[in-house]
Amino acid sequence: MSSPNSESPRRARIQWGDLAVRWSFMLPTIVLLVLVLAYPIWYTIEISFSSFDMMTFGAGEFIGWENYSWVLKDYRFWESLWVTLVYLMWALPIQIILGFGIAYMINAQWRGRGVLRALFIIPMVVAPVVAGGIWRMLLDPIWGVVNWALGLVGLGPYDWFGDPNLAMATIVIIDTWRWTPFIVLIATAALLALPRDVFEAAKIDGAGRWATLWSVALPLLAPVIAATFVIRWLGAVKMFDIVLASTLGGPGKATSVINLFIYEEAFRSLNFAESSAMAMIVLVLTMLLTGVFLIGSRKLETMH
Amino acid sequence: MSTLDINNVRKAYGAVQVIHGITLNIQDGEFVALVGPSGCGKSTLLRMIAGLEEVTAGDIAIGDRDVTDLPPKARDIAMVFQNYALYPHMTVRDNMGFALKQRRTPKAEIQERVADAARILGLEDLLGRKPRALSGGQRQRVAMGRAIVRNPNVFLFDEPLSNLDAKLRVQMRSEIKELHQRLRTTTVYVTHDQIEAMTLADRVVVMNGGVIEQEGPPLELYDHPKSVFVAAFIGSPPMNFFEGSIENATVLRLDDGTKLQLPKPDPKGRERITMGVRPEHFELADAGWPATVSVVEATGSETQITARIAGKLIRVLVRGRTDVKAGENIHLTVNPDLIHMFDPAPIPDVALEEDH
Amino acid sequence: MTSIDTTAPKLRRRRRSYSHAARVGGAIFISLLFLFPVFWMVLTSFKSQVDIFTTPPKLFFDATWATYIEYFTRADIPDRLLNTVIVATGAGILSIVVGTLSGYALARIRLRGAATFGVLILMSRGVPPIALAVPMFLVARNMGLTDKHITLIFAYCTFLIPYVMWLMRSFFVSLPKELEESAMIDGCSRFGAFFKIIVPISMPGILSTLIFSIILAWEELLFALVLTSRDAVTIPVAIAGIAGDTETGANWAALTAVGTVTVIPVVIFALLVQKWLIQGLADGATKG
Repeated sequence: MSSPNSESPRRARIQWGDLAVRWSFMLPTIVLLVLVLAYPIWYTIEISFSSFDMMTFGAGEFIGWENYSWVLKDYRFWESLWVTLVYLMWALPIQIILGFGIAYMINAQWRGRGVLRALFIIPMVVAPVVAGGIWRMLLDPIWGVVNWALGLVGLGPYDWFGDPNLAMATIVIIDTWRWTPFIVLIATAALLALPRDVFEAAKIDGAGRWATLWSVALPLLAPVIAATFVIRWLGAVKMFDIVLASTLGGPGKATSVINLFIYEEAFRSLNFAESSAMAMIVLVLTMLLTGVFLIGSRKLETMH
Repeated sequence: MSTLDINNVRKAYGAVQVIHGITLNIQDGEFVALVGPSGCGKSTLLRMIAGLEEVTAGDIAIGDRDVTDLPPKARDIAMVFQNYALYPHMTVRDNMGFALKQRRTPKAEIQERVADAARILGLEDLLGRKPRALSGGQRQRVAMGRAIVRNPNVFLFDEPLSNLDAKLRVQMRSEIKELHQRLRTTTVYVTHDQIEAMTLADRVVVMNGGVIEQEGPPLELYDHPKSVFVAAFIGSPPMNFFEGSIENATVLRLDDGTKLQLPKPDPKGRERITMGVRPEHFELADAGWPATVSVVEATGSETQITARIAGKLIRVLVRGRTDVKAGENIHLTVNPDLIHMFDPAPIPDVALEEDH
Repeated sequence: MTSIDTTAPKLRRRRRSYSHAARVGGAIFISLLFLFPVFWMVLTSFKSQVDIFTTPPKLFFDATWATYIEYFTRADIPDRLLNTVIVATGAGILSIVVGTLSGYALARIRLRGAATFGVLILMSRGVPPIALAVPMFLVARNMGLTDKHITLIFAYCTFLIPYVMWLMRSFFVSLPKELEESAMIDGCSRFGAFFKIIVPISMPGILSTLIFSIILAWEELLFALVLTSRDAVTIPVAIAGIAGDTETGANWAALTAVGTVTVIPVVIFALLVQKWLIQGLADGATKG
């Protein structure tokens, strides 16, 4: 295993030059992200362990875990985490089931399929803040189209923004409207990629429609569903704009998701140190759960 | 045109060495084929010659110039890849002229040389097309055109015919041969197909596990393989092997007890050998090794017989036709000069692969 | 589509065409349902105040440009629109340049440790933006960088560069590596092979990714809210202001008009790159 003449100075110098060229592809990204991503995170950590100095408008003296213990004793923080959890538990399953269901439906062979799929992009690219605004208008208790339409079939009127449960439903509806198309598009591709012969074999074996769905289609789709879940999860934990533009966290704190709560603690109440501690807790929680989900989805992938 | 000297070249990825010190001197204008099963290191060696892989130790010289540490562009070589690697956004003309353009060759000269190459390869009508509008054979030709336009010191081919169907492969094979006879450019040609290597090359280098197993003119490898590996790899259908112990100098006792009379003793006097006989060297006779015919396949020009000697399947190739039938018992003899005797070694899988 | 049909042969044809029609009909209905909010926004933006607040809601009315004229001449909306254009294209272009280079590095160039960076950058998708917004605000304030386009452009790099890098990486991985090798043998340096061969071939992918990056930056709210106050305020901030202004009652005219102007260009661009976008989504889902 010896390489006697590989250490000659001539060769070493040339390799350095090439090494520089290679790294220069990566370097701008590293520099920029250290500047705008790594440094801010480090600074958040620093503030979260300090008292906030209003004079210098930065981290003051080191106070250890004090901010964290303050945050963990704050019932509003827990409430806000709970609100976020409720939102996630409703929104993600609904979106995934609806997304795959609609994909199955619009996948019928017909000429307009491509156009339909293209149109499905539109809700996805409506700015979340605009989405929140429009739905605020659509769901307006008095003048909104939705209540009027529900009234035609004898339902309502509903006070979408006044009732805590309905306000949560509002958030879930808006988010579902904006994101289901995304899942439909992924699911469409996944359905098209399913091997046809497996279904034909199931048919020959006499499996019914539901049996085929449960024992053939779902297991085959499981990895894609898991991956979709992870992507959606990463987006959903960042929920902020839609709430800000529609319910503003209300009524009371009924829809105050964690990001909105931290935002208000930081920029309305100017509790920068505590909100940094909260942000760090959320960051760690997100990372841990993301890790768990990723491992889970990898497992699913290897299982099938 | 130039010589190519590879001197004790090694390649390691971390602690794993894949090329174990290869030395190979290639004459000016020589056509050398590197052949071996996948993973034998032939492509890695070619890529080191091209400068696409770093050389861990040893050196490579093209002509008088040590190119070991030079980037690919400074080596004055041209390479034809298995997937052709045509630039999809350029026309055939631009593809062929790209290398010259990189060297700031005057426009008029580029045009002239591209036109020349196109004429040689029959690509004149395709110059304005993009690669995606070409058939597989045409793409292959453009890839070669791109190489010859350069008039490089060395041509490198990395399995250039593998993506073509069998018929086109044979046709392009003879075109490559013709091209080499015309241009006389030093060529290194990597293939896993021993027939390609045998038909094209002046010299065949059989590689195995990162070392050269044997090198020499094609027929020398066919006539005098030095090891079971080379014997199994060169020749189609592959050689038949019998491993056993020598008894009384001229009896080969197989492991199941069957005794075969050898027409000559082992010149090296070993106790245990692997004997090899090419299918085409068997002769049907009235006496000799008894065998039972299991399948007879006639193609008209020759007949391939699959038979069993003591439970072991062997292949026999006879010219023309024969009236031997399946189930029949036959006797086989071999000219003593055509019997090969090797140190016992496991028979590589290549011998079991489909033949071309 | 693999349709699973269990009906008896003689019935199959009729049953199938019925169920087919039902599926097509259902598909169209659902699409319309999903498009309705956008349709209603555009419709409302052309209503006068009297036509907006009616029961039942009006589908037919005298269309008017009044709201557009009011908001795009008198108010500060044009400024904000311009800010958004500057910031979104700036961030999009910076990210595409930087992210394409590193995406290529991850896909093709052997670099010790680069894969670790890649994974770290991928993990950054789990960082809540608020954890970045707080320190960015403090640092920007102390350095006098708030309310500047460039600050927002850099802030948007936090999510755009990882996005571009991973999308372009999977694109480059799908290209045969012999292309660059061939180019390098033909006389190119590493950079030459990248810029003369890889970039031109990848142009459709790069442009689509650029457009989608611009869209993401165009819609961003949190950083814009935190890092701008007057001069560099973007459209989403303005819309959040209009939507959240509950004191004066719902200003639906303004909301829908500004919303329409914000959304329409994005929709047009998105439809232009939809094919690539759907492909990217599918890849993103399967390759994580």
